[in-house]
Amino acid sequence: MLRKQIQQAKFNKHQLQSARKAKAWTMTRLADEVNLTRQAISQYEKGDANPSPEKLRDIASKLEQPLQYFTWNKKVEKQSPATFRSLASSAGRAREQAEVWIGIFATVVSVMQENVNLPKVSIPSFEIPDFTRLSYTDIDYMAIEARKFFGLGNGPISNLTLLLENHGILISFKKLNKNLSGLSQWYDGRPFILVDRIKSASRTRFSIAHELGHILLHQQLSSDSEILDKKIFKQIEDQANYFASSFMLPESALSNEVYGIDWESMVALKERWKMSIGAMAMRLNQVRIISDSQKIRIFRELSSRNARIHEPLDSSIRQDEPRLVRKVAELLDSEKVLTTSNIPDAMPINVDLMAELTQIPKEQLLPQPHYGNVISIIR
Amino acid sequence: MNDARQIIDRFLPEVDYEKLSQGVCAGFESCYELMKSNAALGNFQTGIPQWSHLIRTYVEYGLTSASIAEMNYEFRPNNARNCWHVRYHKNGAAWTSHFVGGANNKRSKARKAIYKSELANRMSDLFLDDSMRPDANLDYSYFQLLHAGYTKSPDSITLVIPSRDQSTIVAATSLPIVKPSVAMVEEVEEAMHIELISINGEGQDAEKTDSAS
Repeated sequence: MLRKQIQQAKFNKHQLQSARKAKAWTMTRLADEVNLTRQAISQYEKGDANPSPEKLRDIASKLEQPLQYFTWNKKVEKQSPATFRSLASSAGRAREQAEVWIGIFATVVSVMQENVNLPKVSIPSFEIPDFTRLSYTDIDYMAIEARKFFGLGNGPISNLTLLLENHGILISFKKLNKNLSGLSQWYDGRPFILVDRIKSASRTRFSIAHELGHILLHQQLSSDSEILDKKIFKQIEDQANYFASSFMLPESALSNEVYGIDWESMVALKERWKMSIGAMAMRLNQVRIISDSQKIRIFRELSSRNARIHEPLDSSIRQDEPRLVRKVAELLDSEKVLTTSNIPDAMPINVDLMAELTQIPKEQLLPQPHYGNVISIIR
Repeated sequence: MNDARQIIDRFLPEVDYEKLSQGVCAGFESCYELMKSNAALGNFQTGIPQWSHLIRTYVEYGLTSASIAEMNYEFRPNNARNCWHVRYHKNGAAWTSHFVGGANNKRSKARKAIYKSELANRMSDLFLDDSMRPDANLDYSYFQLLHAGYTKSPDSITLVIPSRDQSTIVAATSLPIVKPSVAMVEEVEEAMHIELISINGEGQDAEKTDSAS
């Protein structure tokens, strides 16, 4: 029966590689887990050989994916290299893992889009002949124009995630490797953002704004190798950071509002702007509202209070949780289009991973147990 | 009287005038809140006059906290060494801040003090009076920031340049009362347009569910 199922649905070598990378395993590790050689796994992934049904079941079990995952043929078109925040210090496998996750997220959305029209992608478009020549003044201009495009004034943005979802950008929060803050990538003409759920809300907001910077400024990036060029990587990260600061903390508002840089004033600013004290200190210095020595004083204060990693208010500022995909899932469920009974076929993905990526409650993804007729047993 | 801006503009950019004003306003607001919340200070015969002592500290705190780029400050004792004052520095200018009373009994200049004359005597600015002639050895200019008022907001904020002997004011300029202003929060409402695609392709219009609120 199993052999027949797998023969009918052709083994997909890309899915094996994807499942392995989703676990951040090397080929050697997978080979060890399933008592095969590294060469055998390599052959499967190259398509030079197919695993036997029994072996594939073993692999599926170890990689914690349903068997159908390895025959799933749903394709989404990747249109840009992934841009990572904190790439410099992050391990290659962690990057690959995150890239697979965002790909799975995009695939789930793609399946949903067969039945639902999502909000149109509506983001500002800038003529950027060569992003390597962008100056900070250019980026400030683009940040201001982006605010205008989104219908914003120059005040704090109450919910950045919702703002971008309203404009067709898909966002997912998931626990990432500790060296990664987030990444973004275009699939099928739509930008996707994946950010670390473990970081504080204020840092997550910065990460999302940073990825928005990549989406708006770096559409020209054509290949992974371009991003892996250290010089280019440093430049695009710097530009995305500057965009995030400028977009989230407009100079015109700050210069009117910031009158104090003592601890209480900075904490009050953080409460209002929902940005980390560190990010605000950097921005205030960028626009010369405070001097280098004043910036250093703020960071020293953070250090002396042991607040460089866990700043005040980190536990009280709520995350702007994504809601678009969950909302779509609710609609499809209520319309009996994608329900717990057909989700496993339509989207054969590890339920925990899918629930985490989509914020759909796990119960909605699990098939409901069918008990049949209940017979009471009387002793 | 000369306009002190002509002199002080050499040292401070336009934005710093606002920051100074905001620093003073922040001090007034905090001092007012303290007095209001403390019955012994705000609602007691011997407490009320403490305003004139407290406001000095609150304004000095407000000014040292002001986000004025490149500004430094130091604490200096008076001559009797029974009191400390803040001396601010930027771009070769030095200044001190002083409370000069309320609207009805405001002094036009700060009280004479030895620690101030020490600064005034080292002043390097050009004025008509011989006593103000520049001295080649002088290293910075000195001015005073005077603030007045007994309420939540200052009645006036003035920058003055005293003569070396502090007997008179050589130049003055009023600062606008600039309270810290805040931009409105940009409230983002849910406006995600989700549209169910017709399943059977029977030409029905897609069902629309606009979740905008």
